[in-house]
Amino acid sequence: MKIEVPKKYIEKFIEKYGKNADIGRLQAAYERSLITKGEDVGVIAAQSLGEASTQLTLRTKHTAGIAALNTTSGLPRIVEIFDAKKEISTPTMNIYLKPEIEKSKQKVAEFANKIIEIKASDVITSYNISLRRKELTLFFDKEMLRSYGFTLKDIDRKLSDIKLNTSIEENRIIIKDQSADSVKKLIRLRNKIINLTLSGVKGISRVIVNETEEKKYWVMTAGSNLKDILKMDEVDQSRTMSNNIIETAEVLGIEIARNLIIKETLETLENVGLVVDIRHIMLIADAMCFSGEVKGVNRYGITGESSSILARASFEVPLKHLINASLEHDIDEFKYVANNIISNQVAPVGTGSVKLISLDYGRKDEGKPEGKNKEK
Amino acid sequence: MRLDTNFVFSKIYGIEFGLLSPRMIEKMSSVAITSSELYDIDGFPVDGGLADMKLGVTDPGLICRTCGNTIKDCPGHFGHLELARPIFNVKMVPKIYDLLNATCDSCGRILISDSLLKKATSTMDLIEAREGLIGKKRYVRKLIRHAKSINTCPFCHSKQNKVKLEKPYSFIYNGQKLNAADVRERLERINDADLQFLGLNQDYSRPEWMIFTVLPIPPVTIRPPITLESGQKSEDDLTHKLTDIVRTNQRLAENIKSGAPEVIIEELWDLLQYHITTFISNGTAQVPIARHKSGKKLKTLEDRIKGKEGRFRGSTLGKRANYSARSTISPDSMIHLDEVGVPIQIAREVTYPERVTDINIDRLKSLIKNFNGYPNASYVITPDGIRRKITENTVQNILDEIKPGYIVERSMLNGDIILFNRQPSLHRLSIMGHSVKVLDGKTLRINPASTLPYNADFDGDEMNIHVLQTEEALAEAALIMNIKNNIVSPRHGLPLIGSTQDYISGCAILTRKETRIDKSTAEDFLVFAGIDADLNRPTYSGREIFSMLLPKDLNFEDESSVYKYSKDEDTYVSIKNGKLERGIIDSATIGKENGSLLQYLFVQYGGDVTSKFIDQLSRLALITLTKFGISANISNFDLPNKTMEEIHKIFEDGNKEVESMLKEYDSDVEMKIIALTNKMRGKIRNATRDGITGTANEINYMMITGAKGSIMNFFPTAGMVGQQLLRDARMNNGYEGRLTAHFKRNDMGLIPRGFVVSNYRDGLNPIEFFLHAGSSREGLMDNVIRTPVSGYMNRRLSSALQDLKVADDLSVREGNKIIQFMYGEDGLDVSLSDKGELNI
Repeated sequence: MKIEVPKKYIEKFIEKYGKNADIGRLQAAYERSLITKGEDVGVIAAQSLGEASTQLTLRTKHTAGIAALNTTSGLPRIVEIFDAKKEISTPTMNIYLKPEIEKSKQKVAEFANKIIEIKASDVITSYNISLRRKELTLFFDKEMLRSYGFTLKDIDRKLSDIKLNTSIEENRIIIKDQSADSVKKLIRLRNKIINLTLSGVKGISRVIVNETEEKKYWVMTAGSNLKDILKMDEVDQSRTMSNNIIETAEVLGIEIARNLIIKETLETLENVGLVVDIRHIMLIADAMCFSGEVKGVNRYGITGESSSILARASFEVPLKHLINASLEHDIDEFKYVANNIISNQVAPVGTGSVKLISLDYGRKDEGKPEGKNKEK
Repeated sequence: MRLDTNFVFSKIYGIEFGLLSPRMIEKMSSVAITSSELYDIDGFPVDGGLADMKLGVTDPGLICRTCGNTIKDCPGHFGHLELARPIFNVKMVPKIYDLLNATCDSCGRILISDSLLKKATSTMDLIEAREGLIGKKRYVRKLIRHAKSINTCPFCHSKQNKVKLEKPYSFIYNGQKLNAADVRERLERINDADLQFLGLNQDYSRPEWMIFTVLPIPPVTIRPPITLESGQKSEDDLTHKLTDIVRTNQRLAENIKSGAPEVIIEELWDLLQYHITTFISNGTAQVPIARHKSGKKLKTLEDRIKGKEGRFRGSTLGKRANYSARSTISPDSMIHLDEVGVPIQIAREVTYPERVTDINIDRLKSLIKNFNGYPNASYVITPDGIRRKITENTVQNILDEIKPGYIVERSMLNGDIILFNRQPSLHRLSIMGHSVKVLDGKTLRINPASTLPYNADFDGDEMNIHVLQTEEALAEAALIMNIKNNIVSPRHGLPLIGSTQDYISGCAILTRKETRIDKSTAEDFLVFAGIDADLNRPTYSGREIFSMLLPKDLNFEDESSVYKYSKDEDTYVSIKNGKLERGIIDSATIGKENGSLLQYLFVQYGGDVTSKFIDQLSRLALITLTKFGISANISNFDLPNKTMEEIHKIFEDGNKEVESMLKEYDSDVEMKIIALTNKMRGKIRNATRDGITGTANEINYMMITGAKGSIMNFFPTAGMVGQQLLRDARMNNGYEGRLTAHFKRNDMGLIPRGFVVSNYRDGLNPIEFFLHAGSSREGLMDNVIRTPVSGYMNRRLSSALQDLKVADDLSVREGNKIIQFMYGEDGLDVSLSDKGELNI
C-alpha cells in the first residue's frame, strides 16, 4: 500500500525546492522514515514518558518573580494530568480579552478586579447562633464593607435571593429559620451563607494582569471557572483557557480536552528541560480521550478497561477481575501482550505480528503464508 | 530429520472463565477426602487424607496413583470434600447480596417487569454491538441497581422484604439471620432466563454455585510439604488450613448425625465458614486473621495471586532466565561500540546451542575436544533430545557418534550476539544486542560511549548478559535490538550514544583551526583510529584528519557549542563533500543526547556507518588528547579582581535592599526577598561568565565545548554560592527566631537566613557549610521520594498502552478499537526521521 506524503511536508518541500522539484525524493524520504507496521507504539510512548519522568522534579519550583502564580509542576503535575483528576491542585486560567479591550491596562485591570470572587466569609466579621430564638446573626464592619464596595442592603438582597428570612439591624443581619430545631442545622445554614458568592466569578480567588511583548494585557487567575468566564462579553473565547482538563472537556468538548492534555504535558516537561516527542504524548492523550470522555491512566480508567482479563488482573486487584470474569462467563482471547507473556507465547506485536509458514512442512490447514516478513 | 516434531503448531487461543458446579467439582476430583490425618505412623500418606497419593506426589521416587507419573510429570489432581452444611464463598458475598435483593423473595423472579425485560434485551444487544462487553456490563449493573430498588414483585405481586448484609457474611431477612442453606435455596429458585440480566450465565455460573456444598481440594503439588534437616515434614500453609477445614467438617457431620443441639451445630457451622473463608482469603474485613502458632499470617490462596510477588506479577509476567550472567562493568575505550567484553569464565559457562551441520561439524568437534579449555563445548543434545555432558570419559564416544542433527552447547565465541541489560529497565534501550568480545579479567567491559541508554556508570554498577538460544531471537537481537540500530532514541530522535567529556575535549582540540599535525604523528593517529588513508604531505591540519572519518558525500552544517558561545565564524561547522571546511566538532555535533551530526548520520547512512564513526572518533579524540593534552588547575578558577569586586558589590547592594525592605512591613516581603536573591544569583552568574577569560582557560574550554560542566557549576565555585533554599523558602528552621546560635534573634537579613557569601574554591565557613548541606539534603530526599512515584506512573502507562500497535494502514489500534487513524498524525517514526520532522 502506498502511503501519501502529508500535505504539510509537500508544501514545505515545494517552498524549499520550487514547484518543479522531484517529489519522488520526498516520497522516498517519507517512506524511509515511516513507523514500522506492527510496532508496539503504546509501549514506546509509555517508556518515553516513564523514562523521562525519572528525571522530573517532585517539588514545585517556581522560577521567581512576584507576579507568577504558584502552579503545580514537575512529576506531580504529570501524574495529575494522566490521572484525569477532577479536582486539580492548582487550577488556573489564562484569560484573553477582546482586541479592543486588551490594549488598555486600565480596562483589563478593571475586568480582573471584577472577576475576583468575594465570598460572604470575606466580609462577615463574626456571627452569633441562637437556638432559642431560632436565628443566626451576622456581624459586619461597615468600613470593611465599603472597601469591598458593598452595603448591608446588597448582602441582604443576596441572602433573600436564596430564600432566607432576613432583617437588617445596624451593622447586623439577622436570619430567622423557624425550621431549625438543632444547633447543627443552624451551623449548616451558616456554612451555606459563608460560601455564598457576593460578587465576581465563583472559584476565582486571585488575579494577575500580565503584559505581552506587544503591549497587550491578559489575565491569569488562581482558580478556574471556564463556563462562567466564557459567557462574559469582554472575553475572547477563542484564546481563553483553563488548565483543568476535566472542566475543559465538559465546557468545550473532548477534542479540546485532548489538545489540552498534550499542551499541558509538553509544557510541564519543557519547564524541566525534558524533550519528549509530541507523538508519544498524542498517543496517550488519544488513548485517554477516544471513548468520548477523559479517562485516567489508572485502574478506574483506561487500564481497567483493557479487553484482556489477564491484562487487567495482572495490573491491580487481580482477584476482583478473575471473580467477575467467572461470574459473567468471560473469555480471554490470547491476542494481547500480557496474556501471551503469561502463557509463554509470542505476543502479536512487532515481529510477532507476522507469521512465516513453510508450506512444505507446515500443516495444510494453516493456509497460505500470511503477510510479508517484516523489515526494520 | 523429522522437522514437524520440532514445531509447535497449537497455541492457546483463550481462557474461558466460569464457576465450578458441585457436580463438576466431584467429576474432576480424584479422591474424596474423608480424613484429617495426613500420614500414618510409618509416614505414609493416609488414604482419603489431605496427602493422599491420588492427589499427586511430591516425593521423588513415589508414583502418583491417579496418573501413574513421577514427581516430574504428574501435574497433580484435585480432590473434593463433601461439606456437612453449605458454606458461603466470601468472594461471592457481594454478588449474592445483589442477587437476593434483585429477585423476588417468594417466586425468585427478577424484580423487573416482563415488558421492561424485553426492552432490556434489545438495549443490551445494541449496547454490546456499540460499546462492547464493557458497555454491556455497565448496563447490567444498572439493571441490577434498578431491580434492587423495586418493592413489589411484578410477577407474583408480593411485597418485598429486603435482605440486609452484615459484614462479612451474615444476611438478615425480616430480622432473622439467613444461613447459607436458606440463601442457597433462594438462589436455586432464580430463573435461568433471568440470569443474563443479572450478569450471570446459566451454563457457567448458576447463582447457587456461589455457595459451596462440595469443596475442591487442591492437589498436593501446589502445597508440597518441606522436609526439614531433622527429617521432619513441615506442611504448607494451605495444608494447615485444609486440615482445619476437614476436621471441623467432620465434627459438624458427627454432631448433626448424633442430633446435637442446634446451638452447637450453629457454632461449628460458623467455625467451618471461618476456616473456608480464611482458606480463600486471609484479609477480609471483620474476619479475624488466621495465624500460625508463632503469630505469622497464614499465606492463603488470595495471597498467592495478588501483589508484586504474587502469581501474576511475580511468576508469570516476570520470569527468571537461564543462560544469563551478571558482573560489575568497567569501561574499555578500545572495544567497539557494539561490543561487550565478556570474561572467559562467563563465556565458558553460558552456552549457545549450535546445530551440527556438514559445514560446522569440524569446528564443533574441535570445541568438543577442548571441553576443558576455551573455546569449548560442554553438552551435546542428540536428535532424541537426550542431553549429554562432555567429560573425560564421554568425549571420545561423543566425537565418534556426532553428526548433523545433533546440537552442541558451545561456549560463547567472539562475534556472538547477546543481549546486554542494566536495571532498572526503564525503556527499550535498557536491553540491546551486543556482540561478544571475550577478554581476560572478571568484569564485563563496555565502551563508555554507550553508557547513556543504560544510564550506567562505573562506580560499581552491575549488568546482565543473556545468551540467545534460538535463531529467531538471534536474528532479532542482531537486526532490530542491536545497539547500532538504536543509536537514536525513539523518545526524542536525538542520539543517546555519543561522546562525552574527554572525547569531546579531544575532538574539539583536533578540529581547532590552529591544530597542525606532522606526517609521522598523523600516521600514528590514523593507525590508532583504524583509518586507512595515504599520507603524502609533511603536515596536516586536524580538520583534515577528522575529515577522513566522514562519508565522502556528506554535506552538513550546524552551529557548534563553541560557535553558540563565541559567534566566531570559524567555529561554525560546515562539512562539504565529506570535508570539514570549518568548525569545531564538539558536544553540539557529537555529544550524547545532543549531537546533530550523529543524528544526521544515523538517519542518512544508518547504524553501521554511525557506530563506526563514533568508534573511530573516540579513538582519534583519545590519541589527540595524549598528544596535545588538556589539564586544569586551581588557577582556572581565579576570577579577575574586578569581577570579584563586582560580585561583592552585587551582594552588598542586595543586602542593603533587603534591609530597606524589612524596615517597612509587607506581608509579601519573604517572596520579594526570594525573588531578589534569585535575581542576585543571575547577576552573579553573568558577572562570573564575563569574568572568565577566553578559551585559554581549560575549565572554560570544557564548558564551552560542552565536554563537562556549565556556568551553573562554575559560578558557585569561583564566584559566590548564593541563597540556600529549603522547601522553596529561605532557611528558617532552627532555634527560636534564628537559624543557629550565631545570629541575632529575628534578624531577617540575608546572611542570617542562609545566604552563602563564600565560594567553593575558597571554602565555606562552618555555618555556611551547615546550611548548604541542609539545602542539599532536600535534593537527596526528593530523589528518594520521586523514584517510586515515577516508577508507578511508568507501570500504569505501560499497562494501559501495551496493546496499542500500528496496523498495516499505519493506524494505531488496540484490538478492534482505533485509537489514531494515522500514527502521530503523519506516520513518522521519531527515531528514523529528523527528530520527528521530515527535513530533506
